[in-house]
Amino acid sequence: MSFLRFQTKDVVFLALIAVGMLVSAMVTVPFVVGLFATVPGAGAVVTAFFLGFFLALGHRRVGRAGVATFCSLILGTALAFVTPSMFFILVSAALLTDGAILILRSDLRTTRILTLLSAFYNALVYIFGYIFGSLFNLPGFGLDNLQAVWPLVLGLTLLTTALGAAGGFLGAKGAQEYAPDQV
Amino acid sequence: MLLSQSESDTWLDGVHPLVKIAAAVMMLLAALLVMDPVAMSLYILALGSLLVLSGCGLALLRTSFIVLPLALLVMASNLWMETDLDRTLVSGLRMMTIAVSITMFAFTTTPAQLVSGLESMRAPRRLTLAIMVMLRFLPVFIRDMDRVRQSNGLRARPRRHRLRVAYRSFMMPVVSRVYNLSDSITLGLHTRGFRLQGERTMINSMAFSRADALLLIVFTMLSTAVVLA
Repeated sequence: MSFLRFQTKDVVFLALIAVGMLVSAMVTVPFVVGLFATVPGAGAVVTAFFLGFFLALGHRRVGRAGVATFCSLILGTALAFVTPSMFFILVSAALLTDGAILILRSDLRTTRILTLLSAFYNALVYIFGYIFGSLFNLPGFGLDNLQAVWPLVLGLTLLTTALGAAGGFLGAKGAQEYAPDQV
Repeated sequence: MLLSQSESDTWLDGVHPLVKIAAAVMMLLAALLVMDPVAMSLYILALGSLLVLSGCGLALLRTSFIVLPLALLVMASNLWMETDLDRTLVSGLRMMTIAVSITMFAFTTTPAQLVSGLESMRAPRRLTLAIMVMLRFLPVFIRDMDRVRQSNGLRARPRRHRLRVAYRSFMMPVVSRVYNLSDSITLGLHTRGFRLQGERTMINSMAFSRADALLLIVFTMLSTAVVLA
């Protein structure tokens, strides 16, 4: 995976971005643990804003593809001890996000692109969360009862996407404000 | 340690980190595959006893105090959804295996041991550096965020534009801290001559021992037995 060959400064920055993501997950997810069986993917919804925020910071600073995969690999490894499905969910979503960056070859410094990427990544996290949740037989998930709960799943996917976009927008703005000339 | 451990050193401290990771993975896989609450309870009891015998009893108790309420919450939620009792119990017990795996790994492994173990397996240095930074700076980041939260709590709350103020007073200090920490760590690494390529010297290199093999055998036997039961 040559696209993951970052310099030392980028590795350190992305590790700190992963720390931010992990801390935000540690703070927000316990509030919705009780809803896991009734609201599929509640964890993805409450973390979407912060994942989008930190991902935008990482993309803005490093400015090339591989950021999402690298952060998700580290974060997924840490979260795998809590729930192994998280590793697969995060890495799958990140690989597709980085694939999109490689295909589009867009400038990762514009607020619009960073907002879109954060929204895309979070939408994928929710979708893969549902798929892997069904495969790992987690409570609240199941492809067999998707017909019954699809309005809820669709609504939550849109909510996750919107929160991810909001986080991405603020992350891009914050990074631009703090270090306007830094790439 | 990755998490603080007030007890004296345990024999698990000297076990190779990769063996502990393999044991944790086995534990989680068994927890996912087993659907019988009695077998699962016995499995957790056996693992818990093993941790208590190895001197991690207090750490297990501390982790259980955090995980047990979450497990009860999940079980209550399952019951409310009219899930059958066996599945409800298994969901709760699965969360308790998390308590065991966290205790076994996080309370007995230092970040340096983990990185040394990964490097001995020829893991990419970018990955080991990132894991090292993440583990070392997780408590630092939590403490910094708490300081930002406390300083915000001391200020008067505005009546208007609350979201904008929250962005200015909370999110921007987070951005600033991430950038500053990153620059300081990178400078420190460069000063000490760290490089991503080439050979690296270690103060304490990790090697596999008889205790590692013993732990692996015990976990494999226990996990296989509970899955086949």
